[in-house]
Amino acid sequence: MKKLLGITLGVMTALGGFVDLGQIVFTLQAGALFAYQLMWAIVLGTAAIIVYMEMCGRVAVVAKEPVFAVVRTRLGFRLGLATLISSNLLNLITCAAELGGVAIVLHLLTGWPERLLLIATTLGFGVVIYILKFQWIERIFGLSGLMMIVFFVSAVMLHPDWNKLAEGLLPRLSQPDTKHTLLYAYFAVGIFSALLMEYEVHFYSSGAIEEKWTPKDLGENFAVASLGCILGAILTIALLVLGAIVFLPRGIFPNNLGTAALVGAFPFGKKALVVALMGMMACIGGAAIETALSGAYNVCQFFDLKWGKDKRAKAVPVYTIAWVGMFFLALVIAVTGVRPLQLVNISIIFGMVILPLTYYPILRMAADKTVMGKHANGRMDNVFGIGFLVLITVAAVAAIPLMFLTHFGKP
Amino acid sequence: MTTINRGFNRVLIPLLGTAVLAGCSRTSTLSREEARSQGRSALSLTAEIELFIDYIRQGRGTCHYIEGEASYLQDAIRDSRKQLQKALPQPGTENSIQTFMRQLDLLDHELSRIPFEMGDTAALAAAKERILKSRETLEKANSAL
Repeated sequence: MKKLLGITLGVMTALGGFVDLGQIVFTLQAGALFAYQLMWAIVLGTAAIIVYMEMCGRVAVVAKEPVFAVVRTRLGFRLGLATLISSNLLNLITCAAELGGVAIVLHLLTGWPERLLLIATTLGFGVVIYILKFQWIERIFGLSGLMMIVFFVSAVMLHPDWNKLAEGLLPRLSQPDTKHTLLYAYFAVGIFSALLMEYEVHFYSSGAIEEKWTPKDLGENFAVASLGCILGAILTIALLVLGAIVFLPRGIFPNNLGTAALVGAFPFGKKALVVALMGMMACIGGAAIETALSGAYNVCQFFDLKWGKDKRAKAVPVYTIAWVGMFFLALVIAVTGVRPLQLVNISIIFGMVILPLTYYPILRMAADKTVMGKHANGRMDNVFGIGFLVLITVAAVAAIPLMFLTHFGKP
Repeated sequence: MTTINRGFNRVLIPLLGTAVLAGCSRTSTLSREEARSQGRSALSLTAEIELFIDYIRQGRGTCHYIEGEASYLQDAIRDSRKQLQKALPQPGTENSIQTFMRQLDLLDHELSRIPFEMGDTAALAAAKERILKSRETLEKANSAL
């Protein structure tokens, strides 16, 4: 019973922590432009993140090696270091975007000045990380993120066309013109990347070690990774549906978090709007914390330094300085007034480019029988792992040209 | 050290100067396709404001939300206006671009009044009417491109 409760809690936490600023923006915009046509990208991205999240958790549990330790051993020091620097730059940009996003949502909730809220939020998150144990940080933000369910309820209440939604499971290559074809490809890559953001797996695998999982917990690892991501994907589909039903017929291309909240509470009243805003705040805030902590985990794991959220700050000085530094630098970026949605666009597209460098070493490690023993990848794991890695690499190659050709997805 | 500094300054100052001038000057030309894209963006903002006003008229927005959202939409409008102002229009597109800018100014003005009109259904209905007219004007200007 205790185990079942643990799994349920884990799944709910993963569900709440699945959606972040990038996903909210890209999916609503995709729905506003292409209705349900990009459903397949959500399904494909979800399947890929399940496969790799499970692998990362399994490697962390069995080999006791979190993602960046694997990156160093499998890619070598130089390429590994380049991956570390790129990953942490992206974590920094994403963290700045998420902090800015939280400040916007808080401003919409309270009316207080946005800059003040930005600084207060960053300080608040710093205190939360310092005081709370890893598990509680994960639970508080993950479970509060469940308020995002209001988006799902709204989507269902607005009666989506289920047949069209099912048709969206197949990619549609024929678009009216070249511009639409490029935009379609750009949003497919964007959705795929937003679902596979690498900080999610850094945080997840580090969490498996923080929570002292053992091979006995591999069942829980599979359940949390798969069910959490599937339920998170349902929320993402709800965003696509809302974009298609509310924005597309009106000719709106949403570029504003406030309008995203409005759509989440569209069939309801004021209370639902507040719930939607709070759900967004929890998800985006959780992502800000995950990116800052991921930055610290990555550095320590790569250089084989002591790390751990539940250790005393003095016992893990580099780890502590790294996450405080991440927050500080992210605050500096956000306070300059760069729009969070611009930052998130950059982080999603450049994030896609470096994804293969994280997922390839994980695949190799998970398939290595000398290290993983009986827990090494089976044939199907390898088939899916290689298949998704090929897709990730194709998307990585296409990401930047598509970004320039579509002017960051401008219709 | 002084020589290095002088040499460095000789290179850096003209470079910075060029960068600043390039940043401030109206160097980029707005192609017809880019102008159309700006028109679509203005139309999207207009539709977003209409949706927002309907939401307020139904009494579904909180006070802070309405004030905050109105100011974010104003920011988006001002960004669009700035982009249009900065770029040199391609010959034949000037009239449409002038119309876009005028309509964006009108939308900006409407948004600045919304927080004061949130309980006034008649004023909001009138604002929506004016925005609908703006949309028609924008559509005409965009189709003329």
